[in-house]
Amino acid sequence: MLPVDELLVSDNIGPEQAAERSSDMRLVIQAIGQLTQAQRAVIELRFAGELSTAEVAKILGKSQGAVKVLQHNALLVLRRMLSDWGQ
Amino acid sequence: MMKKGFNDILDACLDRITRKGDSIEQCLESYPEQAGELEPILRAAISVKEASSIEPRPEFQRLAKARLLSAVAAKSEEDGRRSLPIWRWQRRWAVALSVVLALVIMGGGTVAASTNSLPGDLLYPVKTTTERVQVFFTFGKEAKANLYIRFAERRIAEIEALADGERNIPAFVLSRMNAETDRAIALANQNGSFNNETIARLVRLTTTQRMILVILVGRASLEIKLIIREALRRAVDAYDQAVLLRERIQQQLNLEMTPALNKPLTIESESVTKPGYQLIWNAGDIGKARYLNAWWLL
Repeated sequence: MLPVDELLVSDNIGPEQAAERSSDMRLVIQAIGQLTQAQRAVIELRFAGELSTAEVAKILGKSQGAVKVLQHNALLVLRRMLSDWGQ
Repeated sequence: MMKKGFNDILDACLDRITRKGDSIEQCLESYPEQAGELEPILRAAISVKEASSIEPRPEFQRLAKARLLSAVAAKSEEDGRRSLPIWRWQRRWAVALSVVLALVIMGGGTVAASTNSLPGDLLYPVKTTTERVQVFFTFGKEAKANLYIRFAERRIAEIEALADGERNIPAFVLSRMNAETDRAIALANQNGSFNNETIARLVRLTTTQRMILVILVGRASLEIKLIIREALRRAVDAYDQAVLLRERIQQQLNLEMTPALNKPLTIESESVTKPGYQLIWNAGDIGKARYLNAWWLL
């Protein structure tokens, strides 16, 4: 098991800030883990890969409209979960 | 119709915020009628973006700086090397025989020394030829699939090592990685009775591939982006197929298990989140890439 704090936090910030940040990230990462496979793929590519909707659509073999719907639904789910968990 | 309009607006705002640096407020000003619905979604998006843009450790900074300049030329070269099918069988024998002869003449030293070579190194062709021979002399679909998985894992390690060393990543390494993964999946599809661990390795492999390629595609130049994007598309397809294979095995296991023993299969590298904030982390083979985009490990 790898410590989340060690994975996610840069060496350049203070311990309190690091703890708070890793705690928030824990929640976000956990929330993303609850998405459907297609929703996760869209979120990964859009936010981590910094790809445009058109690029994501090409990679996933979907229409841009379908990607936008997946993105919207994924963010709604994330928002609800993060809200429920008190972030 | 109304929903489609909102999706377009949301997408435009996300582009402005995540790619152009606009603030949420600037976006909301542009769409006052949708502001109430947009704002909480955009705030969730910002959280996700922050989780994915963790300040990278030096290893990642080196990875991000990876130059991929020779990719296009190398891909053309690799395509040109493909032989006609009619010669393929004879060529396989010829390659096998030549390596066996080389081993007899030189001993295993050169082959062993080639194990750690990277694309572009003098001994790299020895490494890939040895791999082809290993495939040739490996019998049984599952054994062969495991070999292809191991080779695809090597390709990832090579890509990481090249990136760490700020060396060019030739396109043929990406296409070989995809091809080896596809072959392993094809073999698994042909034989429905693969071991759980083999399928778990496939899921781990494709998860790692996606992670590495997403990192690369986000930072590559436009010219190279197309090649990495194609590799990523194939990796995403491969991941989907690996997950389907895993689900198929899960269903078979569920049918065989008694109700008391009927609990979900968990795969180490694809850590499973359960309610109650339990996070299970096991990066396994993922190694250096673990510091980024941690949700791939979920």
